[in-house]
Amino acid sequence: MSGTNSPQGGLTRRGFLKTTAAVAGASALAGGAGLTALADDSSEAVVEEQTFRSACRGNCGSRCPMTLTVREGKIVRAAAMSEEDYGEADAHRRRFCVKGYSQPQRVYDPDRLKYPMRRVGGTERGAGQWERITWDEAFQEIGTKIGAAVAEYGGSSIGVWSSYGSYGVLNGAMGGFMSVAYGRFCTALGANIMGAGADTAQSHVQSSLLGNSGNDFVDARNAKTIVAWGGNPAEAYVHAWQFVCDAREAGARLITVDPQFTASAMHSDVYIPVLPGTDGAMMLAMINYIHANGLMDVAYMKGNTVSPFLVKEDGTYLRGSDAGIAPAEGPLDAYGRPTFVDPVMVWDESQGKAVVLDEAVDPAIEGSYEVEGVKVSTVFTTCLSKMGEYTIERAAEICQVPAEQIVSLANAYATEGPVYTMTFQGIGHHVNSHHNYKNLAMLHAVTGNAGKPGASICGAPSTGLVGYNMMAYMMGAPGNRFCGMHLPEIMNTGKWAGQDLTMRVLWICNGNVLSCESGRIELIEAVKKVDYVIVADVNMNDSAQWADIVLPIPHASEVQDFDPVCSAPYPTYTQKVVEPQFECKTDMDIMRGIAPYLGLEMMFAQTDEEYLASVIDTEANVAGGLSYEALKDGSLIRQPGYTEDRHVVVYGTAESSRLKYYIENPAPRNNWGQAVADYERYPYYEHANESYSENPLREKYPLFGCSEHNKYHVHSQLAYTPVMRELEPVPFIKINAADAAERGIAQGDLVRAYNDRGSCVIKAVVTEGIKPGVICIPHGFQADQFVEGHAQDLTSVVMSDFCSNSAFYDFLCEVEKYEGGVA
Amino acid sequence: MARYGMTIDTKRCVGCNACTVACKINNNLPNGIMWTRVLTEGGDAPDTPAGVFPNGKMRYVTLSCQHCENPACTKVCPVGATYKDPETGVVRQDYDKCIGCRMCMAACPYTGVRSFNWEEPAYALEYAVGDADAPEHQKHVVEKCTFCYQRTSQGKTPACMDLCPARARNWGDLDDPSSKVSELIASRSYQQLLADEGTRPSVYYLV
Amino acid sequence: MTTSNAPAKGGKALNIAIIVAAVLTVAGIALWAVQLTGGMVQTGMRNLDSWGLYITMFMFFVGLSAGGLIISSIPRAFGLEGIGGISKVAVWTSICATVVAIGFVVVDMGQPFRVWELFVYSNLSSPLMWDIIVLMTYLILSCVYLWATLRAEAGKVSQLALRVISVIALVCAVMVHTVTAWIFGLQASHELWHTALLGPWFVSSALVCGTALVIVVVIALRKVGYLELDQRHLVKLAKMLGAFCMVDLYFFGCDLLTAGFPGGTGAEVVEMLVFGPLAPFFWTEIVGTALAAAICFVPAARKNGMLVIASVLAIVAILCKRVQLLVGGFQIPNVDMPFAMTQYTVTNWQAGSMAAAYEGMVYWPTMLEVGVVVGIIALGALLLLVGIKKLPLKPAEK
Repeated sequence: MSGTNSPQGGLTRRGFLKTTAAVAGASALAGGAGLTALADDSSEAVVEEQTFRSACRGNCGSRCPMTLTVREGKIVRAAAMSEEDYGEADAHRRRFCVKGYSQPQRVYDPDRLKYPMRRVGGTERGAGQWERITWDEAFQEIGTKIGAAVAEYGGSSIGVWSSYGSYGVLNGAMGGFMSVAYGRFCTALGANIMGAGADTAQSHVQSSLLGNSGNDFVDARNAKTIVAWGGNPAEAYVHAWQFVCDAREAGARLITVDPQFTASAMHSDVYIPVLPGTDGAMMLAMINYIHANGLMDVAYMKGNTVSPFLVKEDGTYLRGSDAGIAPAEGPLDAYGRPTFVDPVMVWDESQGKAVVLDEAVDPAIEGSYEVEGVKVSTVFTTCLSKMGEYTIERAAEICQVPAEQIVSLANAYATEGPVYTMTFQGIGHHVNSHHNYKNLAMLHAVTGNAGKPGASICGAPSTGLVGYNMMAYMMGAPGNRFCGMHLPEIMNTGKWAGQDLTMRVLWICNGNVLSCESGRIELIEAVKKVDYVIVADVNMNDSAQWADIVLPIPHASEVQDFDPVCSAPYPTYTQKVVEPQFECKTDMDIMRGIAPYLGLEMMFAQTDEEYLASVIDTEANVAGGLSYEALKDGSLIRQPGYTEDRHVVVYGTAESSRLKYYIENPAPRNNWGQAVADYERYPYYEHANESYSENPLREKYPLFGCSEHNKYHVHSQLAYTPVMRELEPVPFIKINAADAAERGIAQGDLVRAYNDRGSCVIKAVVTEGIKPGVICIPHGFQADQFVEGHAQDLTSVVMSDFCSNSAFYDFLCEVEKYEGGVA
Repeated sequence: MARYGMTIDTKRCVGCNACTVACKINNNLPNGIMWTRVLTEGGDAPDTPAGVFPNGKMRYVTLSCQHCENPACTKVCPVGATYKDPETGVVRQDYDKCIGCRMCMAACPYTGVRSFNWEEPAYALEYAVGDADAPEHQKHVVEKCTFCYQRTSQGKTPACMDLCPARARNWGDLDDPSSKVSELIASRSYQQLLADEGTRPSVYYLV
Repeated sequence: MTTSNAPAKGGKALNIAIIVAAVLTVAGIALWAVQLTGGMVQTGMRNLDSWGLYITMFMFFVGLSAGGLIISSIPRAFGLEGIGGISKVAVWTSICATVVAIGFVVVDMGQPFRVWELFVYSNLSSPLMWDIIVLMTYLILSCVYLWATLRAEAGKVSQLALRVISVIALVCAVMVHTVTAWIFGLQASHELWHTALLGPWFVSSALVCGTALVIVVVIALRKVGYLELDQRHLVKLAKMLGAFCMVDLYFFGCDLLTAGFPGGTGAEVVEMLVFGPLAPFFWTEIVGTALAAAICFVPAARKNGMLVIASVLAIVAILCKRVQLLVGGFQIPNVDMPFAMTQYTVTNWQAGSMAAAYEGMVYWPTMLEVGVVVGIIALGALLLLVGIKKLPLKPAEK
C-alpha cells in the first residue's frame, strides 16, 4: 500500500524497466566496437544504435569533430567526439556548441527540399509557384540551357555563385569553385566564379596580402591581456572562450572593444564602447601614442617586421637592383619557371648605409635617406607620416569613446603583453574595414605582440589547413572571378572590367546569397534579369525562392566529403551517416547528370571514393597517416603537419616571413581596371561609406547599423531549426533604451527599421547593452520570418573597390513603432 | 551511496544554451519544454544588462531542479510520485504515478524548474531523439531535470555536462571530498539560489 | 403550521431550476471532457502559475461548506435555541458544497483517473493528502449528521448522541478548513502563503461566508414559505456575521502589518495587494466586508433585503480573498530573471517580456475554465435543489 517514501516503492515496475532499457551500441570505427551490457530482463527489446564520427558543418568556420548517433536509420544525437577519441593530451580541444547539439533537427528541417522543382511557367520569379519534375527532366533542361548559353555566348555566360555553405572537396566551393564538382565544371566551361562578399576585407587584406594569421585559440591561455575586438568569443566562436577563461583564471585581463555590451563584455575587465566602423582610427591613434611615448618594442620591429624596409616614393621597396646589385637566381617555382631574388634593402645604422636585408646588423626603423639618388624612407616612417592626424583626442572624437580608455588600451598593448587580439570578422563589415587589418598588424608589430605564446594578431577558429591535391579540380581555367555582389552592375551595364559580359545562367550553390549578402533588393533585381537561375541547396531558403529550378542537396550527414580547412588539428571528414532523404542528390551526382549534355562525362566518370582518394592522398598526407582509407572509417586523426609549434604563428627575419603591415603591391581582390589608391599600401583610416557621424544623411536616418553572428545562428542554416526557434522565436532589432524611449518604443514592440533602400518590420529588444545611436539586427533570419521586409533590404551593394567586401554593417536607418498589428 | 550535485561557474558561463539544447535533445523533450534554462541576471529581456550603457552588469544563471537535500516538493506530493533517491540524492519523478495535481510546482520555490505537460506532448521530429532509454513523456504530468538518471546509472555523464563549451559545469558526488565538485566548492566562493528557503540545494554557483 | 409534505410555493420554479442546473451540469462535464482530451493547455494555467480558478473555487467552497456546517452545529452543540430549525438545510447545503469542492479538485487534476492512487499510495506527509482524508471524513460525517438529525426527529437517536455528533462535526469542519489552509500556509515557497495565521484565518473566512450563505438560503426559503424563522433568530445570525467579518478584517490587518512593517520582501506582497494587480480584489474584499459588518450591526440597516445584500457582499469578499491568495501566490516569482519563454511558461507568455507577463494579473481563466466551474457549481445547485425537493429537510415541529 504505502512504501512510497522508499525509493523502489516510488517507482512502478514498468518505469523501473524503462530506465534500464538495454541498448546495444556498435560504434562504426575500427578498434572501437563495444556492445553495452544487456539488461537482465529479456522482455525489454534491445535497441540497435550506431555511433559515427563526423564533423559539424555548421559553417561557423569551426568544423568541430562530432559524433552522430543513429537509431533505426535516424540521427538521434549529435555530440562532441569522446574523450577517448581525443586522448588525454588533447582533451582540452574537445568542443561543441548549442548549434551542434541541434543538428539532429537540422537533418529533418521542415523546409528541406525534397525533389527537383521548376518554377511554374508563366509565374513570376519569387512567387513561390513550383511544379515537381524528375531528375532526368532537370538534367536535360539544365544541360540544354547551359549548353545553349555556352554555344552562343561562351563559358563566361555561366556564373557559379556561392558563399560559405561548404568547402567539401567533392561538393563544396572553397574559393568559389574549388571542388571536384564545381572546379571541373567551372574550369571546363570557363564559367565565371562569383564569390562571397562577406568576410573578404579580412581574407583579402589580412590573409592574402599581408599573409598574417593568428595563434591557435588554445594559445590564448598564455596571454596577459586578451582584447576581444571585432570578435565575440563568448558568443560567436564559443570554443575559444574556455581558453579566455583559463587565461583570466591565471590573472590575465580581458578587454572588449565593441559597440555592444556582449557576453564577452560582460566578463571583461574593461569595456570600450566603440562606434561601429571607426575602430581603425583608434588603432592608428594608439600607434601614434605608443611611438610618442617611447613604448615601442624596437627589437621586434627591427628583427621581425617590415618596419625597416626602405620604401621609394612610388611606394615600392628599394631593392638590390635599385642600388646596382644584380638579382640572384632563386629556386624554380611550382610551374617549373625560374625565379629571381632581388632582396629588399634597409638602412644599417651600424654601417651608416643601405644594405640588403640579410647583411644588416642594426636596421633603422625610423628615418628618411637617399640611396643612389633615390629618396627613401623606412616602412615605419612612411606609415607614421600618413597617420599624424590620428591623435588620441581625434580618435576619441571619431570613435565616441573617452580618451583615457584609448590611452589605457594603448598602454595595455605596449606594456601588458603578451596580447592576444581576438578578432575575426567583426571589424570587417564596413566599406572602410579592410584598413583595420593593416592597422591592427602595425599595432602588434610596434608592440612586439606576435610570434610568441599569448601574442596573436587575430583569432583563428580553424587554424589548420591540410595539404591536398588541388589539381583534381582543374580541367582548364575558370572564366572571370568576381564578387557576386557585382552582379547588379554587370547586369545593368552588360560589362565587366571593361569587356562585354553577357550572363545568361546563374548557378547558386553552397550558400544562401540572397539572404546573407548585402543589398538584397538590388541583388534580387539583378538575378531577375538573368535568363536562367539554378539553385542547388538543402533547404527552400531565400535564394531558392528566386530560382527557375531548385535542386535538392543532401544534408552534410548524408554525404561523405572532406574539407581541407580543419579544426586544428583535426582534419574535417564527414561520414555518410544516413541515406540521403527524399530524392536528394549530391552536387557531384548532379554534375554527373548534366555532364552528358555538355560532353563532360569523362570528368565525372570516377566514383566519389576515387575522387576523395585523389584529392586527399598527397605524399605528405599518406606518409603522415592521413589517407582517405584512414579517414573514411571516421577515426579522429591528428593532422601530421600540425605540430605543437604551429600553435604560435612565428614571424621570422627573412623578407617573406616578417610581420607585414605594409603592402608593397596592393592588388585588388577583383580587378576591373579600377585605380588602386596609394593608401591601400599603408595603415589608413577613412570613414565608412554611409555609416559615419558627419554624414548629412543622418538627419533623416540617424541610427548606425550593425549586425552580429549571434549564438543561435550560423548564417541562415538554423533559421528554421525548431529548438533554436524556441530559444529565439522571431527576428529582432536591438535598440538602446534611451533611443527607444525617445521613439515611444517599449520592450517587445513591433517596429519598422527603414532607410531609402528598404525596410523591415521586426520585434524590438530594448536594451542598455548597445551604444546609443546604434542598432543591431542579428544575422540569419529568412524573409518569411520578418513581419515585413528583410534585414538585408537596409543594406547596400556598395563595396570597397579594393576588396569587394559585403558591408552589411555600413548603413544608416531610422526606427519607428509599427502600428500595423501584433506579432 | 552518493549525493550528486552540480557546480556552475558563473565567471565562465556565457548563456549559450548548449546545456539547454543538449538536455532537450538527449531527453527527447517535447516542444515548449525545457528542463534547464538560461536566465539573464541583468535587464528585463534575456541577454540584456542592468545599469546604463556603457556601465552594464549582466550574469547568466542556468537553472534546473536543484535536487535539494531538504526538498519542498517531496514532502507534499500526495502519492509520492516525486521522491528523493537515497542512492544518489537525485530528486526523481515517477510519471506513471503522478496524478497531475501540481502541488509540487506550488511548493517548489525555484520558479519554473518544474514543468507540466499541459497537452499531449508534441515533438519537433516524428521519432524520439536522444537516449533510447530516456523516459517517455506523458500528457498532464509534471516533469523536471532527472539528473539524467538513465545516463548516470550507466556510468555516463549527464547531457548538460558534456559538453559545456565554457567548461563551466561540473557534477559529482558532494560527499566525496576528492570529486571535482567538492574541490571546486572548497576552493572557490559560491552562492546558492534562495539559500534562506532552507531547501539546501545541491547546485552551487561559483562566483 | 407547515408540514414536511406540503408542496412549497414555487414548486414549478423549483423544477425549472432543477432542469437548468442539470443542463449546466451536463455542459460542464462535457467541457471537462474537452479539457481532458484537448489538454489543460486550454485553461489559463501555465508552469509559472500552475493553479487557477479551480483551486480558487475549491478553497471557496470548502469555506462555504465548513462555514455552513459550523453555523448549523453550533446551536446544537451549545444547546442554543432558535436557529436549530434550519440545521438540516444548512447541513445539506454544506454537503453539496463539499461535493462541489471535491469536484474542483478532480477537474484540476491532470490524471483524474489515477485518483485511486490517493488511497493506495498515500504520502502521509503531504498536506494535500491530509486534506483529502479530512474532506472524505467530513463528507461522510456530514451525511451521518444529517441522517442522525432525521433519526433524532423520529426519536430513534437520542438528543445526547446527536449533540456528540454535532460536536465532532464542528471539530471536523474546523479541521477541514484549517488543513485546506495548510496546503498553502505550510509552503515556504510563497511569502504570501507562508503565515501561521492562515489556518485560523481560513476558519474565520469560512465562518463569514458560511454564515452569509445560510442567511441567504434561509431568507430565500422563508420567502417561498418552505420554512419559518423568527426574525430575532435571523438578527442573531446577522450579528454573528458581523462579528465574524470584524474578526476576518482583524486577521487581515494583522497579516498586512506583519508582512509590511519590516519593509523587506513582505512589503512587496503588501504593495501587490493594495496597489498592484490584485488591488481590485483586495479593495472589494475590504470594503465589502466592512459594509457587510455595518449592515449587520446597524439595526436600521438590518432589513431583510439589506441582509441579503450584506451576505452577498460577504460572500463576494471571501471569494476575492481566495483569488488574492491563489493568484497572489504566483504573482511574485521567487526567481524573476528573464529567459526564453514558451507557450507553456506563463499565462501571458506573449507579453514581450517576463516583466510584462507579470504586469497585470499573472493568471486569469479561459472560458473553458469558467464553463467547467459553472458546471460544477450547477452540480452543487442541482444536488441542493433536488435535496430540497425530495429530502425531508424542512424544520420539524417545535
